[in-house]
Amino acid sequence: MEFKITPYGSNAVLISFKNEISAEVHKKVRYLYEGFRKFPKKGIIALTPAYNSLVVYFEPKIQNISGVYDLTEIILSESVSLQLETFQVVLPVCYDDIFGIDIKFVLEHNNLTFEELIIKHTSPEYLVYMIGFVPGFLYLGGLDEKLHTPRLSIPRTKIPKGSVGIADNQTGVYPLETPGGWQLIGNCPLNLTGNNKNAMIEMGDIVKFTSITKEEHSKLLGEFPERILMS
Amino acid sequence: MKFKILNAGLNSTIQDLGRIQGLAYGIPFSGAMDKKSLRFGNSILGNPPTEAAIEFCVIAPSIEFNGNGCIAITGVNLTPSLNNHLIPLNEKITVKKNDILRFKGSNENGVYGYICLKGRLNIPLIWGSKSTYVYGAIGGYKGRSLLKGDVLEVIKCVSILKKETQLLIQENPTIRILRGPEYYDFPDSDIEQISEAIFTISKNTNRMGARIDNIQLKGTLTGNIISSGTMPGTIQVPSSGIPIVLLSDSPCTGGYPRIGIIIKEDLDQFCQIKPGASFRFKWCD
Repeated sequence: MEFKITPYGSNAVLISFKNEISAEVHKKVRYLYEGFRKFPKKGIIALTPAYNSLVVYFEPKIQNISGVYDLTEIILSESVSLQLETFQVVLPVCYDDIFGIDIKFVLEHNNLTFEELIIKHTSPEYLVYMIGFVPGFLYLGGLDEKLHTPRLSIPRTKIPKGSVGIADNQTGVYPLETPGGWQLIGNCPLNLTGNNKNAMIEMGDIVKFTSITKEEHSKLLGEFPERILMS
Repeated sequence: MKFKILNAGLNSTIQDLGRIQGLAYGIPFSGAMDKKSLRFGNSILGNPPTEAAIEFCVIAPSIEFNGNGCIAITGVNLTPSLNNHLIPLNEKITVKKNDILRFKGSNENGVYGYICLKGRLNIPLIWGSKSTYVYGAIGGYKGRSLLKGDVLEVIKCVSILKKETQLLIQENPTIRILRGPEYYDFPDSDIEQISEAIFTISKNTNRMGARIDNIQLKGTLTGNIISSGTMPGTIQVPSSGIPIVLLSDSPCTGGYPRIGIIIKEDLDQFCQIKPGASFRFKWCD
């Protein structure tokens, strides 16, 4: 069986795929997520997509676990012919050391120059595998191996909003001021936290970082990201 | 009717039944910790069950009313009074201009209480809900807890009839739990221990989650899972072996194995257990 369906509470099920983080599994979750979004009238009320799973909430008077199972099979069998749109989001990052307080450590750890770090961090097209932990926190895949850096041994109690960091093979933006153990290399001025429903980055989007100056950073503070249709 | 917060109390926030539209974007459920008491308060006033109220926690706010209206107080009994005359809980109370609502406090069971106001709270819907998510500054009154001097407004609306029942806050309650998605990854001894022992709620407990004292589980082999969707009531077991129960403001994804989940009907009762007070879990089907 390609997927497993498990009851989770009295009005939700967990649909899980192969136990791995990969673009292939992500694509299945995304097909299923997009498929369910099109069935709002069949008692499906909410969805939480993740790396290799999807929680489906339903209205118990209208829907049940076997109904969700059937819908899952239908969506997955139709997904072969389904073309999903891809959106790209450019996130500006100021790599100045007033924000990137761990840049020195990352450069020494990986034996890189500052210019090399910026090129390696801004070149990849990062895939948004999922969004969680706090509003707008993107789980991105695609960090260059030469930038992999271990977490801080003692996490900081406060990391400023917008901080861009690296932790092992992950990179991302802290949308809120939170505690955290990531190595900080810059700051993104955009508002990613979810006050504007029309400016939300979605799972499956492609993120690109672009380097900006301190002056550009202060001009862009609080602006919302823009999703651009690629295909 | 407008009303003014004279004293904010502890973590007093606007809450309704919560939001589900933002789960795919990391926006948590939020919403009342004791939804049954909120619904009951609304039903007393003829409000729809989904209407928001002021939730308070252990210390209630003081409020001055600047017009005529009706309120109902439900949940924990912190001895409310209007102009220094004691008023009952769970009843419709008429308030007039310049009336002042205060609470004396008490040692009774319970943590969360609700001040429901007849009509609609003039708070914008964010992702379909008026609930406050303080940590993310989303929803409610300016995305934060209420502060001294805040002025809010309730707008008249048509009454509806919907019968709801009162939550009877119990001493040492038994909380029923269902199997969580990773139930079968836990050793039998953990499954037994969780339903046999008497636990207490840790002081380290808030709207995000409750830690449980005097329990140490073995946990699963790895102690973690690939991050996956979670919901309030879920009992997560990190590698420390000390379970955490996710509550209203918990993140909507998590990376710890989920041994069980509190049934919807008992989650309100669970949230009303005071830190230090004891309870039991019981598996159910």
